[in-house]
Amino acid sequence: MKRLGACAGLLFAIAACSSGPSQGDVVSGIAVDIIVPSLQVAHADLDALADQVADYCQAPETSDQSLVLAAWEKAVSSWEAVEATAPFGPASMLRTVSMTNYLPISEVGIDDLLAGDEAIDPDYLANRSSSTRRGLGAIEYTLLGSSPGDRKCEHAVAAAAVAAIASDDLVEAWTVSYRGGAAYSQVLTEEMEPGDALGDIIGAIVETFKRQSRFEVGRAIGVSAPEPDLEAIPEGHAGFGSGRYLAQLAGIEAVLQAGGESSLIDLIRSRSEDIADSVESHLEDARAQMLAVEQPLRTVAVESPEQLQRYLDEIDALLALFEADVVSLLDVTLGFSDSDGDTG
Amino acid sequence: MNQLVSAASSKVFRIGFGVVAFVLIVRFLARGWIESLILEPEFHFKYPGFEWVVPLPAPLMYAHFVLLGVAALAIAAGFRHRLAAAFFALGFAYVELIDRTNYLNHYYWIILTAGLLAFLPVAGRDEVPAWVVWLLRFQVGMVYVFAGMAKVNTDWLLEGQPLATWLPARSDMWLVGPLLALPVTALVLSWLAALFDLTIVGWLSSRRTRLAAYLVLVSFHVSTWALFPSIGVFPLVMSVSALVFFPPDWPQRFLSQIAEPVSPRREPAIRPVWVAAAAVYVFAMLLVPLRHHMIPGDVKWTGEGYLFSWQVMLSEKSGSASFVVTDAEGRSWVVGPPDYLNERQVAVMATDSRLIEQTAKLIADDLDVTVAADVKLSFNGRPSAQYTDPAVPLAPRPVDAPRFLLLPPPA
Repeated sequence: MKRLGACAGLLFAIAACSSGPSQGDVVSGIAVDIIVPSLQVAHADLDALADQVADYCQAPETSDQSLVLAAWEKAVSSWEAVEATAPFGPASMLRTVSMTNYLPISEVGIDDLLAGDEAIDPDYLANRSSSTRRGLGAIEYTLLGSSPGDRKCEHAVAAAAVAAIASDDLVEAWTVSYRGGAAYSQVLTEEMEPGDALGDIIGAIVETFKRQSRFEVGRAIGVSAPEPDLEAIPEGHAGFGSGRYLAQLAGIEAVLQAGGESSLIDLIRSRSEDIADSVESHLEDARAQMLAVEQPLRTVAVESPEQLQRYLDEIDALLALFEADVVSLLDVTLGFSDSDGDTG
Repeated sequence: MNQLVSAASSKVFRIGFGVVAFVLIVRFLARGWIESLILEPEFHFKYPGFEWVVPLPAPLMYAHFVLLGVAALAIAAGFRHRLAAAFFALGFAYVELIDRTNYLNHYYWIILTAGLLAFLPVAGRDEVPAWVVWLLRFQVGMVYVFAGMAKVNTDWLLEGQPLATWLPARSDMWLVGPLLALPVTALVLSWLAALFDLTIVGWLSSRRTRLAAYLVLVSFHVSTWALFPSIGVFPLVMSVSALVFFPPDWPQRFLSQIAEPVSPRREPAIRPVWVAAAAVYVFAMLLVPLRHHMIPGDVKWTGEGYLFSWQVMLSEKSGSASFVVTDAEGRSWVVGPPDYLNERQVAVMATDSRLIEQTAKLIADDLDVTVAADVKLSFNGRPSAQYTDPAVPLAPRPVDAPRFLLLPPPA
């Protein structure tokens, strides 16, 4: 009996050492080490942006606009890293993305708003206005764009406040309580099936690659549209398109590496060295391609589309890797799981 | 075969089936699947020849499911069981025909079995011809035998796939979790599952091993349910149905009498035409699952002949699909699956050549373009490989054009 127990113990020890991290450990690592801290950073940056815009708007003629622009770029970077990896759960239920999102905006809509006499305050922008008139893209337009009138600051201050409030609500949902229940980080790590939680996280990454490939870069250079469509690239007057994509890649890389030895990339590696290597190398190549971009993306799309094509090739490879290989290797389902299935 | 035997076990089969069918319908209602699988999708993938099958308006669809539930209870109660079983078979077949992405092996089995019960004298009789019991045993046994035969392949027996993919994902399970992550566990369980499927009917058919075999069968199904909860009512329906392998009078022996009011009456003779029909049914059920052997290519890769052939939990496939479209001016660009397909439909579509073809036709009709599919497929743990040739248009195609060919599977 003792021998049997010892053998069983040995077997479990071997299993525990040789099998790579469990899905639950990986999800915990991502939620605790990455998503929550990233959300807190994004909220802090959006708060700082709101303060900076408010300061600037007290005397726009004499204030240094570069300070606002720096705060705005920082907020965009930290928010994009979050949006690329955690747009599920509270972010979708609280409509956070529609309060903070970068684009699309309606320049005509914002111009009409500025030309009107409706008071532009956070409540109006958040609850009674189209999502195309708020968010980080709208702030960029009113501060740097050619919008008319003297109500630009009124709009920018309100839009920055809306984004800061929305991100605060999101942090609270993840860390304190979500819909009257436990914090969402607890829901994700303790209440959800690890496979479902991992499916949400990988699904967010897949959607980010899909958005870049099919709706943004792909359309801009005419790969996923009959004609090149520059407007498809979410980039405004600051020309910060590449920074935005780099922030998304950084967010995805952080999620892959979170949790030390219980990281998502370690889990993938425990199933297939080749796939893990491919993911890392394509991610690195994609970042290198985007780092090489020195002009606004819309300019690059016109003057050297082959540069964006190279980036797109890497993103397409990553999309196929995640959608086909990673999903299969980790046995997660994207977007649905509550239905019977016996066909594998 | 025409010898009369106790009808008790066939009645228990009917009662058990009715109860499980009722549970199935309740699950559809309780889990919101009527909305998510039937009513919400804006488009439904069709079976060839059944393009005309469309969902009822929401109130009628809910009413339909309520009627299916009532029919299931009527089957269990033995109340007009033939009518109830016929309605259930046709009604649930209608539900399944609405969208091919909703196909499940056990739904197909439930439809077939309900259809059988519509013709078999499994209520109101004290005795039935022995062939009725044997037909029910065949109905249960064929699932195991064909599922076992399908497992005799190198992926299953040498690589332990797809269990080698699925089991490590359960390494969070209490107590056994770490063991599930070991590659050898997948291999051992693959062999055990294949042996179980291939031999369980034999063990159940032998008087000496029957009880032990049944206990193994229940343990097997409980284990699969614990490992793969999304398998739904399959473990339940098979565990209950396999009781039919016990002697026809086992319920009487077990309970001394079956707890169901039976009106004593003369046993009417069963017309030979029904016996002949049963023989035809058996023949068809033996042929249909084997049809993929007549089709070139590995059924697990091509999917041709995969449905209706008891290829139960046999492959793990995930695909990444995009479509290359070319308009009349010769401009080419890439599009994703149409927005009106939901995530479930897209995921299933990307692994099924017939559905990829339907999607290509859909896009061709929407955009008035020529469409080729660019699909990469990961299959039983292999790195993803090109599944379709993005240079070969799938739509529009002449009606009489030969079917497009998939690219060969990876080694």
